[in-house]
Amino acid sequence: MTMLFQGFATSLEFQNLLAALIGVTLGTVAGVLPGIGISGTIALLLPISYGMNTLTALIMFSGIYYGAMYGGSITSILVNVPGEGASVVTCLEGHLMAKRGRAGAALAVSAIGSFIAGTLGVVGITLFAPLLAEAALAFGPPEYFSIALLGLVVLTNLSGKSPLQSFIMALVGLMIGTVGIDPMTAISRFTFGSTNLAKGLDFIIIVMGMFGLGEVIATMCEKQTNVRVEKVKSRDLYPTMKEIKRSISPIFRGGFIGFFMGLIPGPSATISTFISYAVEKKLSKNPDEWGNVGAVEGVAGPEAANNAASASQMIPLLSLGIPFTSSAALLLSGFMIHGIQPGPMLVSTQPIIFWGLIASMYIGNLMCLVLNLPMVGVFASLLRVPMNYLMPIVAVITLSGAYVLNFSLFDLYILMAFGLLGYLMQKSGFEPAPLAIGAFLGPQLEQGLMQAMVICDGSLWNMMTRPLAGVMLWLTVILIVGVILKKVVSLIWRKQGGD
Amino acid sequence: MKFDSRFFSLSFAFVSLLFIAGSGITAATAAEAKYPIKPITVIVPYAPGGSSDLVARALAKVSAKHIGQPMIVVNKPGAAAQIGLNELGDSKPDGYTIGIANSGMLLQPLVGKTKYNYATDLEAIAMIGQIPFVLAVRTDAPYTTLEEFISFAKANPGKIKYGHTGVGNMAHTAPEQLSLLAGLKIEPVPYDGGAPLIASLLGGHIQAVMNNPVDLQAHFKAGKIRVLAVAGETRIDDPMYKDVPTFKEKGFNVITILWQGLAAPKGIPEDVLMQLREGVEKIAKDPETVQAVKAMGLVPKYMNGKDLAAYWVSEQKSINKTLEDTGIMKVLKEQKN
Repeated sequence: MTMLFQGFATSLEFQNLLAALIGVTLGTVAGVLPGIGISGTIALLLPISYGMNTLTALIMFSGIYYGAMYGGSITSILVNVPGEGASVVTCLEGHLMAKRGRAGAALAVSAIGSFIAGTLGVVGITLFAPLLAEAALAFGPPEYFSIALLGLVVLTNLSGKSPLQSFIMALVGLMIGTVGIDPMTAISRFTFGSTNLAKGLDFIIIVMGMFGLGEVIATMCEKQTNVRVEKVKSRDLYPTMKEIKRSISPIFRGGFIGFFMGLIPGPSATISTFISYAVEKKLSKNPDEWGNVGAVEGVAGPEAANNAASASQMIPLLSLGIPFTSSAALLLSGFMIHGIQPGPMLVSTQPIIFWGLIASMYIGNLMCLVLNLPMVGVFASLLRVPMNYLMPIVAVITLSGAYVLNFSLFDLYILMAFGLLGYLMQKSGFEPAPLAIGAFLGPQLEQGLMQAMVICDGSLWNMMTRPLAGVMLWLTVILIVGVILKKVVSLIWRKQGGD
Repeated sequence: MKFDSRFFSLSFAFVSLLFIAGSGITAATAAEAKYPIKPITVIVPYAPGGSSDLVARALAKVSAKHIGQPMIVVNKPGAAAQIGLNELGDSKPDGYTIGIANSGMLLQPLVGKTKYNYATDLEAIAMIGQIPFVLAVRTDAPYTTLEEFISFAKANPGKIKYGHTGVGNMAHTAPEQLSLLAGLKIEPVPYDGGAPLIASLLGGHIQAVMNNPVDLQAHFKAGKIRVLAVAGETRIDDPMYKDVPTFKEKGFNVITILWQGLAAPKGIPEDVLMQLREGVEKIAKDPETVQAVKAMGLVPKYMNGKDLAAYWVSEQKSINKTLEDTGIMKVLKEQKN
């Protein structure tokens, strides 16, 4: 505890406060602009940081890292463009809320949720970091596979409109996920001899196309008379008491889901947002709002989850020196450039750096909230811009965002193809979410299964008897059997009723 | 609140446009007068934060001091480094675009259709650092030496699972070479990066890893893993590894070395190439660079361009032989198309 206070003393020094402020500001901006993201921003600042004091530089990098989670939801809510995987779910309810003039409420709830969950996450790091890091290692490939499988089964029917339709879309998504080189045998699939396709389709390009560009095309095709110019009163920019009340439990639930999911290697922040969404939808007292007018719980939960996950992802990074995500990997290189090797020895060899960084994360999260809440009004008023001006701008932002991701022109073709697909799906009443989930989980499932099969000597039974993987796999089996039984029972009932 | 949101949006869009335009600019002016008259771009064909990226940034840091111009590091990751490498090969050979070259680039031209065979189609400038691969296991494993590892693997065929980060890459070929020479049956598990691979080793989901010690050293220091053998000609010149024998000492000719260097596109004027090589030699030997290379876990080793070119070709030959011997090449060739 005294170490933490010492950390606070260090991180409250002027240059460190400034570094935190610069970090979270840049992070928020990076989160707002789709595609640029955490990785690009940190990479841009790595050379500049050479001249800085080590702790100051690390505080700035971490600020970018968690600050981006605040910004990520803004474009999702306002214009349906998810800037990263973790804000795809926010599009679903958040954008619907924006469409009925509650953009400000959605933005404010997401900022408050992010703050609460982010801070809870840092508390978790402060108290349990080394312990949780060890626990995280218990998750191996069989466990990743089981989580992905359970996730797919639970999440496919997210929209809840037509199970069969969602199932088909998820399958299409899984197929899209197989494009590229097979991890086990290096066989090329659906690449048509193109090296661009060999690396597979980037998930974020797919969702930026389907959600963002699809929305732009759909709006463009509407009659000009339908172009909406929202009259947003200043009072409407902030959430009502009722909306806040409804958000509190989802924020805490989402925070816990995100915190624990974040400890699992791989893109668990994104999966945690899916799970939080599914949980909130199941628990909601207003199920008819979901996917219809936009439910505030569907913004609060997932947004809290991704911030908590990004905080808990610092645990394996700091305590093991292992980055579980690509943005954490970049944060690690920020450490390495300054000659700091995170890992089991960090707390004992560099206590000032470790605790200073943790303390700065408490301060930084507060800064994010203070920074983001007043901006809610500004961002929400952006929707006053007539659609015929706003939509081209959204298109430009989406295209530039997709381009800067890999600096690849090819990605833009993919983006446009998925934009068109997204539009056609919207027009024909198909939900893009199950497809996105399939495309996201496909590669995880595939690689996880291949790894797990080697590790478990090719026996499914061996996998089902591993404690963690087993629980999830049996749960999956029960869920599937349950759905089938329910169907059978209802068929029998109907028959009897007909007699 | 009077806020001109349209102006805001428009300037937002304008900035985005600038962003696109800016990233596409590759100024190409004559390389006459005294080379270098402008900054030199260093293409890193991997994402920021990797070992190649760190090397490039360490060089860039002292570049201005030795060659009078800064180096600008540009990351062009994707398609197993081929996107960046092709861009390097395609770039104007005027000495203002160079790139990172390393041992990871040996495989692709051997098995697939790549635009260039990098070993012969690029002009080597210098090697900066290297490190041999090591065989690592968990500290609580029932084997504490290479001999015990081998006899355990022989007694329990298929029980030892090792991880690699891509079919045919060095983390795959090195253990396969060992298993071929020692007559073992060990099973590969593919991972999509070094981090999940190491997490899996630490968690005991796989039993062994052959990788560069850069990613492993923190866990070695913390006593979580044990290094059984080094895949170099000699032991690693670092007190930390002084007691770890080489495979060669134990009678297995397993040599797998990671190296990092610089290369330029073919066709670069002789005098520019000479200046570039001389300049890079000074940069590589700068104490600050040496220190930075050491800090990232590599052994600083300068090798001039001529020697690197020859070494590059011979390394590619030897990896080709390993691929043929272990049968990995057959798998890769069969699966293509």
